[in-house]
Amino acid sequence: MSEGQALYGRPPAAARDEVLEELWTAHEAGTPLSISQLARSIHAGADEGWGGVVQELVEAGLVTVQDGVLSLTESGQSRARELVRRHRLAEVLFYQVLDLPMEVTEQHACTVEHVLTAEATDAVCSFLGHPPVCPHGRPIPPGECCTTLTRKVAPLISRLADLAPGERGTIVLVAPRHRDRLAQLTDLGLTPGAVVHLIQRQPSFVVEVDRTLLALEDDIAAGIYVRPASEW
Amino acid sequence: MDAAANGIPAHGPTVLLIGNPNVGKSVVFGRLTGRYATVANYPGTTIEVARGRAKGLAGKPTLVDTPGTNSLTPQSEDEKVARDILLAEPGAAVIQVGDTKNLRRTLYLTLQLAELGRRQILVLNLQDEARDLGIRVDARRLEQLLGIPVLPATATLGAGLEAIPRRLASAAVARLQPVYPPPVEEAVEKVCALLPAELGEGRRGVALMLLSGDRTLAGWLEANVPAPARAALGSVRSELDRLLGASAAGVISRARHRSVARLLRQVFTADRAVRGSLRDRLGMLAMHPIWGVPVLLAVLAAAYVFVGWFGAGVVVDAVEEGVFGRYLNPTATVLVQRFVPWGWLRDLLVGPYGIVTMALTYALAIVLPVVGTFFIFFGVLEDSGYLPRLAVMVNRPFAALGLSGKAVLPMVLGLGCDTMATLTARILPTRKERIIVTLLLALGVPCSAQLGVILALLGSVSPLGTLLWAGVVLATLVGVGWAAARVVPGRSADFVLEVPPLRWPRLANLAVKTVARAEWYLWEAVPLFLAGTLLLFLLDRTGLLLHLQHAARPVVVGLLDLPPEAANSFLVGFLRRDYGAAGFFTLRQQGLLDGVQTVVSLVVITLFVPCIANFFMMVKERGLAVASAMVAFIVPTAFLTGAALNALLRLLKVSL
Repeated sequence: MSEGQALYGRPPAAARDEVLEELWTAHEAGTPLSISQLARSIHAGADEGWGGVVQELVEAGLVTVQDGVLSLTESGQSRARELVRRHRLAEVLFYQVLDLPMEVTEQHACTVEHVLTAEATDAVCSFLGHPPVCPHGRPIPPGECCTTLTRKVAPLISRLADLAPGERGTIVLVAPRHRDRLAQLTDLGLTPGAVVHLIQRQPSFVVEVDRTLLALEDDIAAGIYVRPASEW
Repeated sequence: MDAAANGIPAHGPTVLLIGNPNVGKSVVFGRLTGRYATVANYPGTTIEVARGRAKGLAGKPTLVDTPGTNSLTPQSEDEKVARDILLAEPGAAVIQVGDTKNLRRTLYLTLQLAELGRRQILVLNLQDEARDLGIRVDARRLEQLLGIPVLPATATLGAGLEAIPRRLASAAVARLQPVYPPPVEEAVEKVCALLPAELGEGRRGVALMLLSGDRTLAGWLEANVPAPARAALGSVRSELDRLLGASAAGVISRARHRSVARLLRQVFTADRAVRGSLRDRLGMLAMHPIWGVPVLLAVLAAAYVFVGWFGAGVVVDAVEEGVFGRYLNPTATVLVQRFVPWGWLRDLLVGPYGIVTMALTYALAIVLPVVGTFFIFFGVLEDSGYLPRLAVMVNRPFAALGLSGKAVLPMVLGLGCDTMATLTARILPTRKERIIVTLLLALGVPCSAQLGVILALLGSVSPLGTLLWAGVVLATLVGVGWAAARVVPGRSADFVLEVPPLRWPRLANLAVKTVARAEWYLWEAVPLFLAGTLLLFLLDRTGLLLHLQHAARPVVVGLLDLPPEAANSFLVGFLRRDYGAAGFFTLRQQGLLDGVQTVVSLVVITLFVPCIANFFMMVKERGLAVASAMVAFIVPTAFLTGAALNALLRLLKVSL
């Protein structure tokens, strides 16, 4: 057990990541940070330990200190950028898709950001349809998968409620707000693997599945995730 | 309601009709029993169980028509009925009726019947519609794979049903066995051991329902499984959920869907090229965001012409003035004057509150034509498949009232008969919705009989009066619905409704249905007319009427500025509010009501409790406490709304 872990209750690598993220956010907001401000904003108290973490980062060439103000180097920026991207994508997944409460979302996002590989991150990003902002409205730094998107590759997954009338998709996930609804939707044929055809959005959602027209509440249409059929 | 109450076992052998909603079970029932069960193109038409002797089947078994269900893990009260009957009749063979177009859902139910160990045959109905859509199901292959008789049919034409008597003898348990993950199978085995042996083969199906977390089985469990076994069962279930890391319900339904999909691939072909018939396009138009509105207006206009102009105008005039006015009433009066020596009996029969001159004239000459034409029109709407499309149109506006588009069916039916509509509220999935619909029906949806009288009366005041009446009633409905949506506890339903294809209504079905409904209406209404007439007659004779009028004076005269005789109308309004409205009609004819008084009295009587029969239905469906609370709310609301309108009109010195 290293001293750092005892101090901050987290592995030193995680502590370094935390600092990088904080500096990214500060840069985004246009408010440069000093070491003491950093410790305060990171909710750790003005602990000398953070000085050590920053020192490590400076030695690794990720952070520079000028006139007591911290800033990210180029390589620090790219590292921070990945972290922030993972954190915010995780927030979208937990909060918007899985409907977890914000505090739980935050807690998991903070864990996930340290362990997700680049591949997995891009997969999540595509799954979510390359969301531009996190639930707090802060921009999610685009990844490689998003730049390929400029070639107009449709998102892998979107909500049934986001399809345009006439579009088709294969259901990949049914996540109604009320869990007991799941059985009913399944009984009606709205189940993973089924192909749905969105007929209209107004005055109510109407979809065709298995040669049957179903009218759906907005809420329910928003809880059905589909992979849009490409030929449409 | 528990299983035992729903399915009273009949004598002799029983055969059950089971199937998804709106696939034609009731048509098959009618063909096999010669009895009529209400048929319509709307999912959820059958809300109560119909029984009949199937004379054409071997052993003349009792045939039971059940409400449609998509799963034996029920989602609403009417779906629960089918499952409960299956449990209550463990030995009965099953005729499953399915929609050929939607074979997936049909087989999903077949699978669950097989898990309950039920011997069955499968009628693949709606072959005509399937053909129109380019769908082909290889019935022979399906028969081989399932090991049960499979009969293609078009029930409305009687095609294919002739084979039922012969094939029912070879009914068997379908071979359709999903592959569940090992933990599920182990849990099923454990649960089966805890269930009563009488269930026999059905234990597996019940075990799967219980593991799916079916809470509607609680009553059945209580009655059939001892407490320690129930507790053991609960722990098997939570252990399973823990092992799976997900809800067992999802895992079970996915396994079922997979095995159905495997079967489908072998027997089902759909030719995508065939589509877009005129009916299809019309069906789409009726729920189009823009064109849906003119379609709705056209339907309303047609309703007005057929029910308002033709029914309430032409037919009523002919019957009331012609048949009753010219022949029946004068004849009855002459006969009574000549042969009845007692003055009181003469009055009772042909006096101003007489049974013939008032009650029968009113019930048969005024109400029957209006109600009859309304039911014909409603039947056309029902059978054509327009109503679910209307539900699509109004779903979002209804949300403000805590209702979903599904509630449109009972609300529109309420314009025919509030009592029937209150019963139909069963198709709504949540208790909250059922309560709100029951309340709104009782508060301010006038039945066609009442509407006929009201419209006739409004014809005598200025158009502004009609607008005021409609505006105040609508505003009250919306206001109360809005408030109720916030006050009534529970969850508002989210809306999932199957929209069936448009179908041409069949005249025979329409005729039978209209007659059945008109009969119900008359059986319910005429005795109440007679009772009301008798009550008024007795009160009048004994002089109590004057006392009552005196007692009601502060409200009737003081608050509403109506003549004291108006109290009579409110009094009979407790029996039937259309009868109350008819009372105002008489007062108006006698010149006792001016325009403002007419509109005020109509607002009050419209917002009144519909009729005593409706009250009994409310008690039956919602319980005495809820029904009484509603009446206790409705009566003061009606009077206060009327009083407020009166005060406002007097203040503004409006004359109508």
